[in-house]
Amino acid sequence: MASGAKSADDIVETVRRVLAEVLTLSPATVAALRPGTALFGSMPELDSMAVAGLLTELEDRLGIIIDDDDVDADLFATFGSLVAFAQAKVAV
Amino acid sequence: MSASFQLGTIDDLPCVVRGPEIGPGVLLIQPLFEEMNRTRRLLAQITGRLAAAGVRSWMPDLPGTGDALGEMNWADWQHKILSFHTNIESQHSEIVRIIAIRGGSLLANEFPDRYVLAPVMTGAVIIRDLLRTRAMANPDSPTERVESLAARLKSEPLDLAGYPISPVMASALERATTDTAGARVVTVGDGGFAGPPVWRQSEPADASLLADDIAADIKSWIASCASH
Repeated sequence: MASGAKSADDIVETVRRVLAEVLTLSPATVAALRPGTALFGSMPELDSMAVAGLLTELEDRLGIIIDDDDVDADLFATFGSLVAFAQAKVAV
Repeated sequence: MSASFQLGTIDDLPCVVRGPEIGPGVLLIQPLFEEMNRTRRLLAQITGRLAAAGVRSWMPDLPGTGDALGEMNWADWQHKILSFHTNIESQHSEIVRIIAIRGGSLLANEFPDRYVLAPVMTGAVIIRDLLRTRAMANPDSPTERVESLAARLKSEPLDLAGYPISPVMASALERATTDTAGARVVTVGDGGFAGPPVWRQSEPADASLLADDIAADIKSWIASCASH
C-alpha cells in the first residue's frame, strides 16, 4: 500500500528496508549498503526469483508500477542505481 | 505446543486444528500460492500461541493447494470457505471468526467478523507477481515477458511458480478485490508491526516476535468483538 508522499531520503530508507527484508540480509550487510555497493551478481541472495519479489514489494511500498522494460541488469547494478530508479518512479 | 493438535479432514479439506475444544474460535484463510508455503511456519507459531491462550483454530488447505487434492477454481474456493465455516461453527460452542492472511483476504469479504493481516488488495497484483516470477526465471526469452505471458494466460493454462493456472482461474483472480470495511486490518512494515514479511522471503526468516505481536493482537481483537 502506498503511504503518502515520500521524500528522497524516505525512499532510500524504504529501498534499504525492502532489500533487507526480502533478501533476509544480515544487519551488518544492511548497514554497509552505500550508493556504490554492488547488488546483482555480487550479492548471492539476489537471484532472479528474489528480483520478482523485490520488485513487487517496491511497487507495494512506494505505490509505483514497474514495467518489464524498466527491468534490466543495470537497475540492480548497485544500491545507488536501484534507489535512483525508485526516486525517479515515485516522482512521475 | 498446545495440548491439542490434530491433522484431519473436515468438509473434504485437509485441515490443521489446534487449541482447546471450548473457547473462542478462528478460521485461518491462508495466503495464496508460494506465499502459503513461506508463511506456514509463522502461522503455526501464531496458532500455537493462540492455542496456549485458549483460542481454537482451524487452518484448511483449499483444493489444489497444500495437502489438498483437486483443481484450483476461484468460485469453488469461495464456496468451500463459506461452507467450511458454516460446518465448523455449527459444531463449535462459540462464534468462529476469520483470520485472513495476505491473498486470503480476497476470500474473506463475506464474513462480518474478520481480521486481515497484510492484505493483498487486488487479485491482479497476485497474477502480476506470478507472471513476473516466471518472466524473471527466463529473462532472455521474448515469449516469456510479463505482457506476452499475460496475453497467453487469456486462452491457455500456464504453469506459474509451480501452480497450473487456468484462464478461468486467472480471470476470476484478476477481478477479485479485498473489502476492508468493518474488518480489523493489520499491516506489517511501514507503520504496522515490525517484520519480517516472511511471505516475500524465499528463505523465510525467524518471525517469533512477529508471531507474538500478532497473536496478542488477535486475542485483544477477539475480546473487543465479544464485548460489543
